[in-house]
Amino acid sequence: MNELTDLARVRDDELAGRASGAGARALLASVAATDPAERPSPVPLPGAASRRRARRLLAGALATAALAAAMVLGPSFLEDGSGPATSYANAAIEIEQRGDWWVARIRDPFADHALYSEAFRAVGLDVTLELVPVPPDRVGEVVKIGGSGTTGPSLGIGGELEPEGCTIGQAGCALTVQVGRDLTGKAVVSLGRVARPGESYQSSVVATRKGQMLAGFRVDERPVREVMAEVRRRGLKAVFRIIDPNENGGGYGMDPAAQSRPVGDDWTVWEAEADRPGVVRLYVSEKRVAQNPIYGGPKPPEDTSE
Amino acid sequence: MDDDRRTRFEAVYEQTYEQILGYAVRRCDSPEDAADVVSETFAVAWRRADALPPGDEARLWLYGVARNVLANHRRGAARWRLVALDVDVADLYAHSPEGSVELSAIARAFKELPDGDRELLALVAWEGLDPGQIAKVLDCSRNAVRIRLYRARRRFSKALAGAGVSANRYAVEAV
Repeated sequence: MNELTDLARVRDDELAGRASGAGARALLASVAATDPAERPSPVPLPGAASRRRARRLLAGALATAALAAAMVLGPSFLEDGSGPATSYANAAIEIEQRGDWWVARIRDPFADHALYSEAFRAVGLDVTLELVPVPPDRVGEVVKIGGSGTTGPSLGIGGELEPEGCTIGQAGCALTVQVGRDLTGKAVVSLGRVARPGESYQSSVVATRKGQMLAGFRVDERPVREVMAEVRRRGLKAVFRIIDPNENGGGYGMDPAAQSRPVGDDWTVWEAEADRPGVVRLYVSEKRVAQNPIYGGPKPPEDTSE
Repeated sequence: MDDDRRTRFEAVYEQTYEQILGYAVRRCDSPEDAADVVSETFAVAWRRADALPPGDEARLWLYGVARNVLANHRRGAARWRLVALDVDVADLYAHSPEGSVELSAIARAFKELPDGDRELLALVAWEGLDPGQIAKVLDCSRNAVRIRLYRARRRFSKALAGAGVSANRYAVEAV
């Protein structure tokens, strides 16, 4: 036994299932989308990853992780009644069974995360739930998910607003998490909640989409001057992400140490994301290239609300 | 031809993603850094898919690439970023692995070792590699690895003894 192993932040077996998680799929897609001969760098696609975080995919992620894993019946299947509870509630969350699913209703999205875990544990699930700030239209979506250990051919995990499409803050509208009853491993889930004033979002969302801060305004390939005029007109603020586009416009680099450089009015804006309430994050470069480096071509029309 | 490349790359990616992620997370102090290392490592692998060795050797080859990427980052090179990935790995940074006093003494001694020593000991303890596999990662002979490992262990034992940690429990372990 070598105790150096205890210094490791994580063991590989604790990462089981991540290869089919949203981040891994997004990376694979963006790497394999580049031309290996011509484009020497990955093309990050802001927003592309978030679009892939559909519940369907999450279910797939857990199912794939299960391929090599033994089926283990969870304690909730015990028949003698001595198993865990079939419902549980505390001040932060309430959980009940509905058919093949456990449905957890968040009572307090700002509660200590330990209270959520306590409730999942009480019904025999090893789920770590974290609520993270996201833009308003992503509230209720699963932002990230991970898992390890044995998972059955799982139904998966999803997030929803209940009733569907309601607005948080309205009476009776709550965030819910659905967990397939066949989950037998450990799952770590981050669910989008509303942001507190000044709190940065923990997911990237294109700011020109319908319902977003810059909806209806086109930012891509325009000078900083024009975009900033619109930002100010809407009473918003902006932060900059300075990028260095590849020569051929397919992909870009970003030097974290050079982010405080002054940005010129004549620089080019390539994309805008929601940073936090009232603040957009503009992807800008001093050099103008022929193709939008964020997308390796024109910005996809579905991300504009024109 | 292109399809073939893609199929081969995807197979390697699926097999090795978690191991490369683990490698990066164990060596980087922030989820952003780890995400950058993973992204760049696989970007290199995609470009050089024709050089990707088959089977388990792909993993060793990728460790070698990741090690170079990490070294470039430490030298302050510009990075490539996929925002989705650092959000994805952030939960792994929720806890510090150096919980106990004894572990933090070991961690300090370990951090103060020369980079080369640390990497060798880590490849044994964290990635579970033997000298033959390490030789492939570092692109040197197995014998050179044995000698360097021996010296690294000796220096680590000395550092531990200096920190008052019983040395032979931790470092003097034969491979």
